Amino acid sequence: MPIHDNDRHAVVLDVGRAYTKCGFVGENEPRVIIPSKLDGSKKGEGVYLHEYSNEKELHFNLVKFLHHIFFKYLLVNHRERRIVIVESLLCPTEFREILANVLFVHFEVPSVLFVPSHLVTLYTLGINTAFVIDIGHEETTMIPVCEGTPLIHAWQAQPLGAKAIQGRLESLLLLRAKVQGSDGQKVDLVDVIPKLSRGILEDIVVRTCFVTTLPRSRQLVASRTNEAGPSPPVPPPTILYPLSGNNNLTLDGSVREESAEVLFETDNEMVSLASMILDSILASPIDFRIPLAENLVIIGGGSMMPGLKSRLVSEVKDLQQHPKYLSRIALKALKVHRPPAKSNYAAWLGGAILGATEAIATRSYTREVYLQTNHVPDWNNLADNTKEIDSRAG
Amino acid sequence: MTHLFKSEKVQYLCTCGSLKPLCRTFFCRHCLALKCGDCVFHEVDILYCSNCLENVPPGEARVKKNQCSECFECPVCDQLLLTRATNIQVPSTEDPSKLVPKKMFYLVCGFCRWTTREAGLPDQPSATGSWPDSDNANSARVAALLEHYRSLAQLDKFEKEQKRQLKRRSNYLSFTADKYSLSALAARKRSGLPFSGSLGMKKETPQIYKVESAVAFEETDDMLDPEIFTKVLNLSFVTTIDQRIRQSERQPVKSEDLIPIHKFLSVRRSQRCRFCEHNLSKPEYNPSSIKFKIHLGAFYHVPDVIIFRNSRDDMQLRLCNRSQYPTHVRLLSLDQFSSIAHSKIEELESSFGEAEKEKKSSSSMVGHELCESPATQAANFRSCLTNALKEKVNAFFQLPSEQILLPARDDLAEYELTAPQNLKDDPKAVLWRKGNKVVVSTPLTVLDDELEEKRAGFVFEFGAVRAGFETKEVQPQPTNVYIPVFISLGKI
Repeated sequence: MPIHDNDRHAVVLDVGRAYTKCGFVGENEPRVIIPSKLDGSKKGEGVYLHEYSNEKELHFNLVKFLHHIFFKYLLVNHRERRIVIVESLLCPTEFREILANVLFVHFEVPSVLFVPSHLVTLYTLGINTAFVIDIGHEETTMIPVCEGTPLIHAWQAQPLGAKAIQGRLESLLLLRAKVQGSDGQKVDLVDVIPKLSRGILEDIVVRTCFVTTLPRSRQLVASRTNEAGPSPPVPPPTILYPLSGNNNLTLDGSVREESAEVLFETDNEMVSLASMILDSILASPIDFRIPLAENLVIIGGGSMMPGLKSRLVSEVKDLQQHPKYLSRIALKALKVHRPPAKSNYAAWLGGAILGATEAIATRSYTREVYLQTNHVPDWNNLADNTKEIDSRAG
Repeated sequence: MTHLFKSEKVQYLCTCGSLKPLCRTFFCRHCLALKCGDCVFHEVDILYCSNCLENVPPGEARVKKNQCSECFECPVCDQLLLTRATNIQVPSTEDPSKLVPKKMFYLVCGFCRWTTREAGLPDQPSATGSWPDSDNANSARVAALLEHYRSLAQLDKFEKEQKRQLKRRSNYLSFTADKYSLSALAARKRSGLPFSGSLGMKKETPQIYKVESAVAFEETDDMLDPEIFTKVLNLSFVTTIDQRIRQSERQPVKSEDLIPIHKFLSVRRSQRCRFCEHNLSKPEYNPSSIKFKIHLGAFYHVPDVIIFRNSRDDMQLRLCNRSQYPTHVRLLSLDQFSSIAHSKIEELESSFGEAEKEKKSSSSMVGHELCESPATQAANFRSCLTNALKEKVNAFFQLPSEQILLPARDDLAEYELTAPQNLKDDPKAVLWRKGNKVVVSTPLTVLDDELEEKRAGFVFEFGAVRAGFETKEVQPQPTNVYIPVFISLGKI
């Protein structure tokens, strides 16, 4: 079957928790970025793909969702296109297998190539060693990649992502925010809306919130914990955020500033984005620690918040001085890469570059094999990962 | 129109096991089976712009990234942008001292009043305009990276091939050891092969296209502007996330950076049976035409049922035949169907044994042969039966035992005042008849009174003519088709 001719570019899909990126190999940017959800449900807000109760529901939703992608956005015949799936190495097996089943059995695609998102991000930079930080909606995952090999034993993942920021924002708003009606009277938000929808929270975070600087954050913490301590910094001006009807939400400057602090607060176990980076680097081979620290790549939609990357770097620098790390790690400098893409589709672009090479013909998993084995190879499955099989495949 | 018929109360059992209203299914006239939207292949038939109804050939669409070059959408609210003309005074080309009016065009959104002037875009001298395309600033870098990795993959492939050839050559050497006197055979085999590797025709090792590695910076690119702590944020100048991701390569944060978006093309799909690969629906080529070249909607081929009167003692169903052939319909209970299906399966399987003697494997069969093969038919019966028995019913119809004739659709019959009454119907079963419509009486027996929602099922048996037979000189023999139907009767 002449699949690899120029007419039939393979499709690259990156199904994220919040947004799905889809397009064709060899292109500079995805054709569309759409929410990973199905519209038109009875609840009104739509159902997110990853929020499923059983396998049958996920299967049904994926069929609908991919049908939409193929015929509304990409406008291609799925039976003639190879597929590249950009997925995290920590992607749930269940999701992966159902996705493969839907693609191979329902859509009858000729082949699927699963590529790990952390690894392919390096294809956008032309380097072999980097420390990849993916700040997504649900969680932040970090995997060091050394000479083209993701070091899975050094992975770090915490539920610190856009969802955590939205959660913090909601609790801060319910605690402090007022709603101003057309009559000018202010009522507590809790009395008007007991729960804010995901859409509103996301919109507030994206349009108004930012990650404050390290000194201001320290000042905030000091003023809160110690009454005799310094006064808190002057918060940014309050703005009015329109809710439904004539109601306006008074969006306090401090709320806008403090929502993202959830990513950097260290709890009793001392887990924050900064500690995750240091722990993961410590788990990497000693010779690679300095190159890794000098090749940080920060991707994922969650990292697009203004000020996040610079704050993260200064937090890591600061944390190095902590007694826990001071004696164990000596990094010279922290350097951050700037991929030739917006952070939210950097991994997608890596998949699109890899998919444009011969690799798609030689490394894809074909439909014939899938129908025989009814199984997708995975790194965490011993049946696929013995040396014997590797040599046979090579 | 679909809304009228899209009743969720009467549902037909599709071959795939799901229940669908009749107007949502296809009827494959080759397999003689129902196919719903989930169990057919969808194919892109034609690409067109839904605004200007311009047909775009696939090659052109690929170059234009599935976008219409002339129609634009508002980047703020997704509505269609309208072209507006204004007159401006420009110096005449012949006499620079004189001013002549010139028409200039700009785009405006009729819904939210956004204009291209707001984005700082100059007015265009032509109506379609050469509005700026959002070009990706990183395209050169990405192209270099692509070239680099392509060459790497080429090298990888080349090395693998080399390795394989080496292996093969060593195999041949072992043959030529002539232990089993195979050397002559091997030599003969080899003589026809093209030269590979060994004879100085060695392929050149692919060159690697070098690309500069990216450089990391100590400063990040998202340092906060100190103004953010003091300046009042005006929400209407900040884009929402939907507006940002619609321009995925730019993702502008400020409203003033929004530019008009090319309208996405739409697609017309054709549907194909998953089993026999025949077309079930194919639209006409012209985007403005709403007709079909092929349209096998079940609505026009399978008798339609609606609840005519819904009460326990006086349950009435109306049957309607919209196909162009008259058909004999029999309503079977699920038990009757099950016994018929079992005997049919046995009969088919015995003939299947005979067919096997003729050494026809199912893989070699195509089209008609595949659809009509006894093995397929037996399998269809079996899956239909298991799917039908899976459905829960708590009420039963007392169905008329005789066949009922449903005349073909005749548009003129609608205007006739009296229906021809020369048909011999059982007056107890058939209560009313006009044209292609018949009302039958089906009193209800309720099994389980505890559940409030009553649901009953029966199986349609009707004759349908397999496609392809019409052209033959022999009178087409209708084949009996069985389709289970389930009706939700509600609380009665």
